[in-house]
Amino acid sequence: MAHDPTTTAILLVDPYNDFLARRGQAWMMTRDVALANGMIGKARSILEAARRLRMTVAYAPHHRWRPNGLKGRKYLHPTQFMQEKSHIFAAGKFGGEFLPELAPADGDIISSEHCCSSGFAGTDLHAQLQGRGITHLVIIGMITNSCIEATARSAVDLGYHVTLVTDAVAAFSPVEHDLAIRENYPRIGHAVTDASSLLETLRS
Amino acid sequence: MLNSLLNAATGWYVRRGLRAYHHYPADKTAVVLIDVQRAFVGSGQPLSGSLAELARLARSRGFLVIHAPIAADAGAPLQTPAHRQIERALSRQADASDIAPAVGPSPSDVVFPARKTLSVFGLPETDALIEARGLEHLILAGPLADLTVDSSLRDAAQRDLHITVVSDCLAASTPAALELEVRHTMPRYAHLVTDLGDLKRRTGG
Repeated sequence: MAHDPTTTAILLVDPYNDFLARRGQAWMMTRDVALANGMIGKARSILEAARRLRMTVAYAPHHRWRPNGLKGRKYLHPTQFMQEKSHIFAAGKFGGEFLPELAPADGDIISSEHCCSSGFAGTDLHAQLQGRGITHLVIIGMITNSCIEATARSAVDLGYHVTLVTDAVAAFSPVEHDLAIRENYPRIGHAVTDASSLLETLRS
Repeated sequence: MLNSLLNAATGWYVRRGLRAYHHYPADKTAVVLIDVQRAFVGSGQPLSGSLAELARLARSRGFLVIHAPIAADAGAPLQTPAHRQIERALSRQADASDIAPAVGPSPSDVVFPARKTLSVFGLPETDALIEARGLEHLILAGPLADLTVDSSLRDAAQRDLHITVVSDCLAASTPAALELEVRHTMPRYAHLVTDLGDLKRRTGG
């Protein structure tokens, strides 16, 4: 499937050191999938190809932990509860910075931070994408069945065409990753592909 | 192995930490029956019985029962396989979109207009009702766990609501999809994934 570079954006979700760097806080949990499928290198190749085409690249970052950052919320959900305990993605710290290989470049969209799971929920992501006339999204990053899938679900409900890339995402466990890309991705996305096929279409 | 242990330990720690939330005051609690329609819930299925029991439990405890049906979006330019799956089921019989008889609706229930989004929060009425009634605790159930209940759960968590999912009142496209939801994905967003028996105990049965 061809991707019109004027209306398609690569949407990179949560490429934080805490998920993807060897010293990252959650690396022990994400490395099994990330190393097995080579998602870091593949995500980087996709970003490079997109930038060569002058395609929009957008970042949807998770809420960075800050003291009292979630103050006022009455019912922290499990992911927020763990963030409050672990300080994962701490603002101004190594874990809350983007992995250098997947860092933003000039001209990229960086949306406001999402505090639950969807990159669209409570953020300016939709407005920024609309501002550039984006109608199609290729969603990559972390985590396969949480923020990636949530962002895809929101995007579908907002009317975007959504492509999911099975090996440019990773999860906390192989079983979650495998089940999500086999069961949910083909139902909730408009298109499901792998990095190799995507890069081929971007280069053609 | 290490990965499994870390996931299990994290899950245990979170479940322990969230125990304080699990209270269900009648005036702040609603059971949301998502897409419990004839197209998706046959009258002879075990799921039909479980959902009927959940609806009875809700009414006996004074919880609001909300029916949130879905409609086909035949004219949509960008349909996903999920949308087509829903559309096919809704087009099989004339009354397919009706609320399944096992769950009512009863006169005290709220029935939303049929929506076209996967998430029940795609309908403005959902937020408006939660705000108007001061709801804080939502108990979710429905036959499309991997399609619409999942999307609704994530949106509910975003809204700072306390969310319970009733695992034996769910079904999904495949057994593997149901396993993904109940064992892995939903526990990352719902405060409690439990079964009807446990919910009865927690709500004073």
